[in-house]
Amino acid sequence: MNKLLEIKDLHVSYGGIQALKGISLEVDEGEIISIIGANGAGKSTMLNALSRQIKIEKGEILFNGAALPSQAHQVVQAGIVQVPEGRQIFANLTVRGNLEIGAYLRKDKEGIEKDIAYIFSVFPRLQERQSQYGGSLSGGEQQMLAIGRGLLSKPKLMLLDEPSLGLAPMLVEEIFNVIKKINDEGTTILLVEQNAQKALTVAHRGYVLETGKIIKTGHGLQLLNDPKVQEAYLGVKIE
Amino acid sequence: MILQQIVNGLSIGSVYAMIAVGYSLVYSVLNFSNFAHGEILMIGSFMGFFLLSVLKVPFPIALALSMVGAGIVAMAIERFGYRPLRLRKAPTLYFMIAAMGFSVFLQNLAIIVFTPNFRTYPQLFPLTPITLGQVAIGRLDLVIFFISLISLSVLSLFIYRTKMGTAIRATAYNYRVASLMGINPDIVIGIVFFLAGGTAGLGGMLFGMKYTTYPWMGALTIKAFIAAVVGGLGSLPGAVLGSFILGMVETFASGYVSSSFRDLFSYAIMIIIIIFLPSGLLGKNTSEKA
Repeated sequence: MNKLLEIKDLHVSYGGIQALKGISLEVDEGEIISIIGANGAGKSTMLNALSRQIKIEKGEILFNGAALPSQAHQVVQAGIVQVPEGRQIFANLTVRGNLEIGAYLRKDKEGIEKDIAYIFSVFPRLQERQSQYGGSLSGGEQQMLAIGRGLLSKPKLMLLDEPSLGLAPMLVEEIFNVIKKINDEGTTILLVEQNAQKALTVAHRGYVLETGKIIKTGHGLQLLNDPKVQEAYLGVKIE
Repeated sequence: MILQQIVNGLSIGSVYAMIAVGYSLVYSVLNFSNFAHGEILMIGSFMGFFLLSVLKVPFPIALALSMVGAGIVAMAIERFGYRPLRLRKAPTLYFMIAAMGFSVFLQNLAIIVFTPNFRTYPQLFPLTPITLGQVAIGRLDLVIFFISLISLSVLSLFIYRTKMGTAIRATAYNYRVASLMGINPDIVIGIVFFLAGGTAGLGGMLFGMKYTTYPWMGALTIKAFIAAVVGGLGSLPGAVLGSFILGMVETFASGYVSSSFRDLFSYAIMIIIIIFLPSGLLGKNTSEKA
């Protein structure tokens, strides 16, 4: 397998607090990698460091074998897109406008139209609402739009930050099905989730993050069956 | 009489609108009021003056050149004044102070370079008005009205119909998330300042043609700023609406009350709006109006 992303000894400080204390991880092409951990473990910090939203203190990030560009917009150009926590839909743009802005760096008009049509086939609700403002959508619809918007940049690697947060169980199911589908069609996925059960079920491999350090790694199911993971993140009582 | 006042109100409102959209555009993206906007207008006005009366350039070319020139000056101010603050994540107040600094600096520079004299543009259009029944419309007013209307239409087509326009709106909504879409905020903000500066330069030329050109004429834009606040800072349709409301109120106040009370009415409207509708008529909710 081809290594798509390699993080080596990543340190990030955030407002005087060490949020990441030397993290190393790898993502192979075609994988779904889940990072689980409690609130404040540093999951979102890690994604924001990858998207160049925050400065890193120390460490190396390689994407496709080359150093990751230093500016946020260049990272998207390189093929990494983040679907941020809380959807962050542009409320002042229409649903269609949100999708079009997702394709901001692309020049192939026909390809963009085809991809928008594809998103609409996956999320028919977005098609019905394509001329409504993004701010008028429900939480679930906004999450679908955020994923669709991310896909329109044709990423090699998609970073998903808490996609299931605040969604009804049925919608959570739907979102995870979509994540699997996107992955089947060739996009590598790095997923950060508090819903450890779902995240590890869908993942090829996972990492457990605790107060800025990776404390465990393994295959999705292996972690799911790990007694310590079960106790800390899945609410299973060990007698 | 009423019809005449409406015509006058539309004419003055259209110039306010062109300047107000510049205030609103910058505010929408960077959340501060660019108080150097008036000085960019002044620079555009001087450019137009020298192009027309010294270099004897044809009117449309002078118009285009002073628009582009003022746009470039605005971009330069952003590049060397505001961008360093932005990269350091400085609070809004610092931007305002920097803007005031640029305003004072450019005004005084203009006094030194251009001398503190009033300049009069060459007569470009005959002074005889066009009469339509009871209403007399000055030819210059008509030209000004159409130039404003055309430039506002082109601007709104750009903002609402093009990819870069969508990127500007996305950046205005959330700068950070826009960068996650691959949008380079430096370029978008540069273009925003070019557009705001260009319309200010155009407005400066129109003001210069109608009145005179002088180094502290930037103070004229305070009315456009009021219009932008009334309409809702950050909202382009709001800026245009506020401008026409202000234009109408001013001409009606001068026509029916007294021209010495004109400004009293403009400021009163602003105060009433700020008290009862802090985010303006069409503005987004913002906690702070800097």
